[in-house]
Amino acid sequence: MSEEISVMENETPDVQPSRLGELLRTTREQLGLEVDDVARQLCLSPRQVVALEADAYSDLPSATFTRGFIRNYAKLLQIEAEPLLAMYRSKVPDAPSLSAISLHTEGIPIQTGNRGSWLPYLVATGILVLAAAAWWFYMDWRESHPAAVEPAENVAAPAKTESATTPVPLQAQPEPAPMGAGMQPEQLTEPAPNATLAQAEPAAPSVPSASPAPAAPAVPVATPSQTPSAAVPAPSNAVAAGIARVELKFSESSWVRVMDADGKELLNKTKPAASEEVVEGKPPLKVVIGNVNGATVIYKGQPVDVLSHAKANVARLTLE
Amino acid sequence: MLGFLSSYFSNDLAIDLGTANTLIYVRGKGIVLDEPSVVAIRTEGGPAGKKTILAVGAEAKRMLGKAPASIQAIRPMKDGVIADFTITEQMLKYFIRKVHESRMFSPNPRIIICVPYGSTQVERRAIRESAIGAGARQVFLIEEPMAAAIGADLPVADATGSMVVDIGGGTTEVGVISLGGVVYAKSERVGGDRFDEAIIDYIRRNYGMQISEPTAELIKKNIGSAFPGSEVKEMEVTGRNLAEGLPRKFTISSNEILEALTAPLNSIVGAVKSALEQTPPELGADIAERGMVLTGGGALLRDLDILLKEETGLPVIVAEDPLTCVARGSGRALEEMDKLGNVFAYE
Repeated sequence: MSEEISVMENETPDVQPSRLGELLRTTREQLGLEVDDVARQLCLSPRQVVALEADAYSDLPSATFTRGFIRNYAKLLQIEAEPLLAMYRSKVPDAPSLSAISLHTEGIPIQTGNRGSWLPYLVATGILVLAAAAWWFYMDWRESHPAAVEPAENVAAPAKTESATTPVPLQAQPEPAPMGAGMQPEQLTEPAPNATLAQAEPAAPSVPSASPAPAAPAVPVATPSQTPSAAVPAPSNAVAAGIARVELKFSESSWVRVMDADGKELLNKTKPAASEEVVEGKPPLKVVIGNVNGATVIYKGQPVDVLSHAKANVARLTLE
Repeated sequence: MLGFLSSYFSNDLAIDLGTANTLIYVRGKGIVLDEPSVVAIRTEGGPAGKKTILAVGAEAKRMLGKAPASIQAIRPMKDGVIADFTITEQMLKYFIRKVHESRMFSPNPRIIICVPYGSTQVERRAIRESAIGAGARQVFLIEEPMAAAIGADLPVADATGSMVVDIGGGTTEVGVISLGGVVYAKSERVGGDRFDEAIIDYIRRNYGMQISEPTAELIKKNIGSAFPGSEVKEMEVTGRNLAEGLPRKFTISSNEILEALTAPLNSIVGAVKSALEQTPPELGADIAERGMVLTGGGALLRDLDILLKEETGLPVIVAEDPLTCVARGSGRALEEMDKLGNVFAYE
């Protein structure tokens, strides 16, 4: 076996013992030792000794052991081990200097029993409990912070106001309706006349009881704008008492202003198309209409030719 | 950046708290301290007086056997475990402070500390407590065979058996390691100290001379051997003649020391053989192929590897720098502490 190796060695070009294995082999041969002797004395197998001498380090254990074998071999051959180890290091520079000291772990836990089956239930229960706790805390917080919640309610309740507001005006109507009849009739489109008419009957007996006679001299002076209660019965009865009535109908949107004899502004509005307005006041009434073409004026039951007063689609007329 | 900060503040240590020597490895720096585990204590004002630490380490070792009555040089570790808890704590505190010399704050490191494989729960707890008492924030224990195998750069994590024989001052640890754990280990309370005692006993018996422990250690280092070699060495020794009571010089040979060491060496061989006996055959095959590795100061005893090789018929390798193997192994465990958890021992 050693002869085979030596044949191999002779074929290699480098003759000087720069190779570690060759140095070991030549020294061994100088001492007259056989591979088997060395193997027996080092307690290695002859295969390992041959591998050492052939520099076949892949056949030997890891670097730590190989270095130990080289030291032991050098000791046996009574030569210095350090130069040999230096040669080994230059030979095997890529030898891993440090081997791993702990196992790489996948970290997969071992599941025992039926732990997997109740875990989802546990998670679901936990989520439910959390949700319930969150709801409870929200309610609690809402009670203690009503102000902060209000805007949210307003946003949340537009549908509710549609239905809820309807009864509210019904209750409030008796007061605003008469006022609307005199002052802000723009809010009362269709129901306004009905309401005033319906109101007129019960109001008529009550108002005259309070001020039928004194109303005649006093009301015409101050109340047309101030006291709608007095104005409400007026349409039927008070026209003769110095109060004139103007009906304005608009087929197109138009601006309109009405002033009474005292220079008091009874109306100053932009009216939408298909709307009408009823104004009562002490004549003569000064009327200005912005869009004459879309407006019709009826004064004391008689239609007035506004177009004749129009100038650049604006009519300025005085109704006596 | 964060790593730099944490290393600045923590400065973790690995300590080989040995019976003979204490070695400290600082993370990122290597072994920075190697001192004998000896503490010299001065007692002031009589036997019940106040005790102060006079010296620790090499300086204290020089006082061993030479001190007056008021000074006591103590080796607080015995057989690999703590014999004197308070002194051990003081010694550790001194060493830790020495390593942290230039620090503004008091050191508060994480510490890896070696324990013999055969140490009991009480002994391990004592080591842990003394390290905490010395200022450790957290203490990890590592068994000596494991640390020695890591320090000797054995492939401990591979699925191959590696055998390590760590002969320390107080204990000899034989371990078979595979897959990052100890498959079999045996701790024998035989080590360098037992060698010294054997030499002292032998000389007293055969020469009628009393020698001191440091002298016995010197003899062991100079001419001690474990296997009859071709070369016989001699050494001149001074001791006290027991019959005359006077100091006398005499010469002793390496063959006599070999004879003196037979008993402790036999226990080491016995421990190794018993470990091989208990090793599963598959791992035994790996060990037969690669051999066992000797570490620890005892591995420096001349021809100990030849003795073990002849006795077991297996290749025996002495690790490079065997004295620091355990400390280097603990140091590597310290460097990779965050990555591993299975190499540490429990109480």
